[in-house]
Amino acid sequence: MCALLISHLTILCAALSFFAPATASAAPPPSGWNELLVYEFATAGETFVGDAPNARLGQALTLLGTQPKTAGNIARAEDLLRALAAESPRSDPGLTARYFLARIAQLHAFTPDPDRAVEHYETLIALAPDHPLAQLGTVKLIVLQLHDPALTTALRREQSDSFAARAMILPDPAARRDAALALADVALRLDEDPRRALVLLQRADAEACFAREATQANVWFQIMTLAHELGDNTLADATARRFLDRFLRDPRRMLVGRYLLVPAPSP
Amino acid sequence: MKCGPLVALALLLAVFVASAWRLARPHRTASGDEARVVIRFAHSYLEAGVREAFDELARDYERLHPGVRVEQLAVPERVYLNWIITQFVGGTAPDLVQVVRGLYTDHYTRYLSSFGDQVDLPNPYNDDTAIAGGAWRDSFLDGMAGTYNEDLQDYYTVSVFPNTNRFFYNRDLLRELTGRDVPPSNYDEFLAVCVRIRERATELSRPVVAVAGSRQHAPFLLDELFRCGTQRFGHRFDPRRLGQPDLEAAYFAYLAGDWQLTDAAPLAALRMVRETGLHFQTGFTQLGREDALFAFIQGRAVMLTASSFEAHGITTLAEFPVGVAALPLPTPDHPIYGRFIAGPAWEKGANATGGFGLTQASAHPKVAQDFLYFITSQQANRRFVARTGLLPAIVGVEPTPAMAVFAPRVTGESPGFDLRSNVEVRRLTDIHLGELFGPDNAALERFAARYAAEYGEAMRASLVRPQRLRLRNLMRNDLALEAARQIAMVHGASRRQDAALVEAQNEQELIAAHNAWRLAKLANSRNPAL
Repeated sequence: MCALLISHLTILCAALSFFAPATASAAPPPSGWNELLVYEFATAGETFVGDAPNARLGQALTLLGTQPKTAGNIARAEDLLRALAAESPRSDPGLTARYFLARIAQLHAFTPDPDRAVEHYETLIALAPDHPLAQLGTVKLIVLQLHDPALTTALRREQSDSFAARAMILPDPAARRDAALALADVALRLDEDPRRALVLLQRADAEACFAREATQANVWFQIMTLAHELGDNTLADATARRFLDRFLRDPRRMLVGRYLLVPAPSP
Repeated sequence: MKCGPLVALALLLAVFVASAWRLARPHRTASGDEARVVIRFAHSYLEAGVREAFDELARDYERLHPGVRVEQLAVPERVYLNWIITQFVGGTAPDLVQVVRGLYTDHYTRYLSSFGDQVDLPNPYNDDTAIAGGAWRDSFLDGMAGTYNEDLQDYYTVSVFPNTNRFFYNRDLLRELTGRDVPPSNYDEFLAVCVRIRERATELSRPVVAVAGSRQHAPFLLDELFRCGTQRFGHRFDPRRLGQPDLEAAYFAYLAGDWQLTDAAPLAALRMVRETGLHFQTGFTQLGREDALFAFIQGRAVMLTASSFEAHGITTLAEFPVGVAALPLPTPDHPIYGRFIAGPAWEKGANATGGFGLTQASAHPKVAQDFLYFITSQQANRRFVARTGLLPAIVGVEPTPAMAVFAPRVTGESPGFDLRSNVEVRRLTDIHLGELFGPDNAALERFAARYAAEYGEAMRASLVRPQRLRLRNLMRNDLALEAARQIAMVHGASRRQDAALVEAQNEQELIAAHNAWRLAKLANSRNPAL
């Protein structure tokens, strides 16, 4: 009787196991950063446990991504980051925390505080100017400060000059590129200074590190058009040739062909 | 009785072995196939031949990859959008989905994977062709320009066939009512033919109109006319010097009082829309797709502007010879409108029919991506084109002779802008467009005045909503980028797509900052347009 009961229980257990997901046992243990990478904030939140700096950083970032976004979550994230930045300001978690304090003030907060964001970025840059997030922070700082609606044209121009000098000494070519692109955009769209924009776009192009073909195509198109506007037809021609050699399917090819000093032969 | 425990033990062992086998074996598919990866793709292409062509490609792929099974889900167009959103939200979306108009930027970032990292790499299925080794993007006739997402600065869809709009005509009816064997070759001829058709139909008391229109079909011609009329005007709105009008720049300029709908170019564009629309059947702005198709197929309209995707259906259903010609747009030498026109504009090719996106819910993203490579290979696209009669998407694949007239213009002048480029402005246009075709001559001015009264608000909404979405994406990507950096620190190398994401993120942030600056300036202005 007892044996029969055992066998029935076993059969029941085995039958239940039939319906268990076959792949569950094969899943690798999640690392919170992998989950955060694909915006799985709930799962990431379950993974970042403990008091280690990296775990607390993960907890803070998870709070920033959790939906619905709440003032309470942002405040908790800020507390965690502030503590990290204070504990070990020059360590990677400390610097990352500082960067995200700036990002909260600039972007994530319900009521952004640009002045506070500038303070955090400047502190980050002063603490570790070569850190990747300090360099990225420089780009963010340029975008933030030069788009202050209260800025006069003269003051913006002065700040642009200062930022251009700072951007040139950034160690990372991608950061130099994006800083130059931001400054060029301000010159073009806010200051309507095509000559300055052209110089900055050429500087970005000289870094030769575009990660996306679309950006490269646009920058060459801009250089070509501005060079032509400013009477530098040789530069316009050379840039048009590079464009036509590289971007075989861009719909603007016919427009680009017009900037050649000697028209290209018909296909 | 003594062998009872032995039986129980044997039974226990048997059940244990069976359970262990069940847990260890691979996933069983619904159809009973075992040891197979199953990928599913969904679309709303129910037109003749398309499902069959996809099916053939799926079987070809399975032959190449015996461990993979490909399932096709064809969902009616009428319910497709709601269906796909439900699948997204429920986490049950197929691996690949047709991406259609009506999905928001949020849907892209939340439920689809970007192809940004793949577009510059070769399609392995083109290895033995003349385009071997080139970027996947360059294997497309339009360089994937038609599927590039401007808002997200990335690629989220891949088109299997492009779609262009042309003008179809009933050869018999055209000859009978106008005495012509050839279609009108330019804008003025087109209008003259329309007038002749109306006069002749009245004389004969026949219920025939020049052009069959509907909510879906009329914009193919009317929007194109507006874009044509705003081509040179649009050059004013290219502050970044990118060779095409920046719609947001045009909206900001309007809101700042720099231009009005009654300026010469937009007014001329509206006049073209009106004088053409007057030859469509009455009330066409309220009619559905089938109304226009039936009117044409039943011989109640001489012409119809329709897409290449509809060509096969139209020519199959029509019991008369169907001709197809380029849209009769005015050119720079036109005596009245020429000064506003730059010339034939490029056609991006892929429009609302979209392409396929790879869902984040896919259990086998690499296989799904590989299948997408396969169906966009030169060989598969050639087979697809031959089977469906649709346009080729891939370089080196020729359209069927009947479809050559639909081949997209891959380069040209930049198009102007239209009154349908985003949700809010399109809604306004849909509400008011019918007023433009009133019988009296004051209809144009009346329409312009009524439209202008709400245009500014629609533009403002069109600027604010994308700005909100852009900021939300920036916030999400902020976190993903840091996650990527943390992972790279562990593995010692960063992924190529992360560098691309940083670049795109900085560009988006720049656009967001610029728009915030403009919106702040507008808020302080006293422009009556606001």
